Amino acid sequence: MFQQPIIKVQNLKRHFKVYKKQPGLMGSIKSLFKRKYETVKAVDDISFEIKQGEIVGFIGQNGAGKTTTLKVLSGLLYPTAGAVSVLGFNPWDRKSKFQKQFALVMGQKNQLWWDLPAMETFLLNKAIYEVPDEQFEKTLNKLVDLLKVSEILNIQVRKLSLGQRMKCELIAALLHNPKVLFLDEPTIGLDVVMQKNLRDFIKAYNKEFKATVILTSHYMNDVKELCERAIVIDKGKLIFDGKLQDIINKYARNKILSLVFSKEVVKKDLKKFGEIKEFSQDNSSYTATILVSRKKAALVASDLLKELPIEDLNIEEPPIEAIIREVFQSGNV
Amino acid sequence: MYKYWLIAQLFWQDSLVYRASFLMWRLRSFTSTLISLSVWSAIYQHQSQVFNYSQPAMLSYIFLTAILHSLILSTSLHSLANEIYSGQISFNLLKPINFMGMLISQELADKAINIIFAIGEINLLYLIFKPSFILPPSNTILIFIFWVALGIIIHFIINLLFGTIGFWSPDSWGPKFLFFMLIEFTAGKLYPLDILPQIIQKIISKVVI
Ligand SMILES: Nc1ncnc2c1ncn2[C@@H]1O[C@H](COP(=O)(O)OP(=O)(O)O)[C@@H](O)[C@H]1O
Ligand SMILES: [Mg+2]
Repeated sequence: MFQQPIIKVQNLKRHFKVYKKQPGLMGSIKSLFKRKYETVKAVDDISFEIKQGEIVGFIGQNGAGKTTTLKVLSGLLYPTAGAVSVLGFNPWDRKSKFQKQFALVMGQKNQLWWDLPAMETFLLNKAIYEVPDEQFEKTLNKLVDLLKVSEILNIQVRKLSLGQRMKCELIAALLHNPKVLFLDEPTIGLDVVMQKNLRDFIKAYNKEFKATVILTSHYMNDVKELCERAIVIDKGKLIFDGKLQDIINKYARNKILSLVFSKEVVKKDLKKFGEIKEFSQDNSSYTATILVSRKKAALVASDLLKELPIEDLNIEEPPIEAIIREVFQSGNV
Repeated sequence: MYKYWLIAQLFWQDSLVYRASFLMWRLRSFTSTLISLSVWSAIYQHQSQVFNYSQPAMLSYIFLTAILHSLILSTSLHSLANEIYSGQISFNLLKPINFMGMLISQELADKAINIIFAIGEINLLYLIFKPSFILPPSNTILIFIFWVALGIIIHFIINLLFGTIGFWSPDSWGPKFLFFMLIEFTAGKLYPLDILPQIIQKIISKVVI
């Protein structure tokens, strides 16, 4: 079925003028009188389209321009150049009709009233977004169930843990059932279990409401688990847009073979199969991991099984962090 | 409209969270009026007429300016600069709500809480000093109300302007503090301006008005 894209970004640029301080105290004093300005190209000619129901991962190093892009899409920043449309609206117009259909969650900021229980913010948002009583009740119950936070809704927000707070932030942002959801590092600072909880939740929300989600994250696990499609940006430029699996195929030159031997082997015998990453032979456990080129992985594995006393063998993808690092190093795609 | 009413309610709840700092805040405004009244009462111990003001007229003046002070000079906008600087303001810009309407409802909520407590405190001060009030002539009351309303609006706008400092710096207290000192002095919070030497009165009226 042909589907209209719900988010369209064409040649988007967002530049900032920032002043450059010279180092040291003298620099500070000089800058009181005269300042040198320079232009930071936070987003520099980016284009993409996103269809309804997609979960897209924004990957990029710190300062790549992820947050800036999301802010332009939310109508918080005016683009320096280019055209942006979300749900058929120009975000910058900040129409209520548009604002009622999307939400932005920022992992490093909170919209909850700090000194009051989260429930107060929920009720305020209900009024602001004009959510009918029945729908509010239903959505709130569902979200509270999914996130298991029924106990903490009436506790002052400042007394909650980071993870609990983030869950409440998500609820506050989702009470009006937004069709489009921008998540800017929603899992930042959370422990692994909590990260997993939130990921599961985001997946469930996407399924339940057919919501379109853009997610930025430092944690590759977030992206790997949630997003089929990834957009990689670096220094404001889009350097990859496509299936996450495609980046992996293209940039992961190697696969990792992890081996368990039934008895001792000599390191030298292993060398000819690939680059040895780890090798340990103590007491009763003999293990090793080796890197082999991905095309030859299957072949090498069968050779290994033939020639060495192998008890267990696993072929794994390298961690996605390593792959992305390679994408950045290569410059473009 | 309901959303703005709810914002005012949350603002009140929020103001009352920290009881100690709330009490300190009230104590400060109470003490400031108390000191003024004490000083003037002392001055009038041995004379009935100072600078052409009788004791009841002067004390009435202090009482009235205390009420006007809490009505006009109270504001919820002190945090605006910091909200802009930190980006916290974003959340309000993202929502389908009129941002100015939101600021206004918070401002009114702040003034309401101020005036309610100020009136309570003034009753207390009345019991202490038991002045006989001399009220301003009633035929100017409409102009007076109009004038107060304008004062509230102008003060709101000036504080919005101070809030825009947040585009460059998180702290708007420096210039604001200077401004408030000047206001308290030139608006006659401490004493009626016509008791000042002619020359200072002239300067004030030339420079400020
Ligand atoms: N308001 C701003 N003023 C000046 N520079 C900014 C502003 N916001 C972001 N930048 C700069 O733009 C670049 C991209 O920032 P950002 O979008 O926050 O990156 P990311 O979210 O990918 O880490 C950074 O170099 C940052 O310093
Ligand atoms: Mg960011």
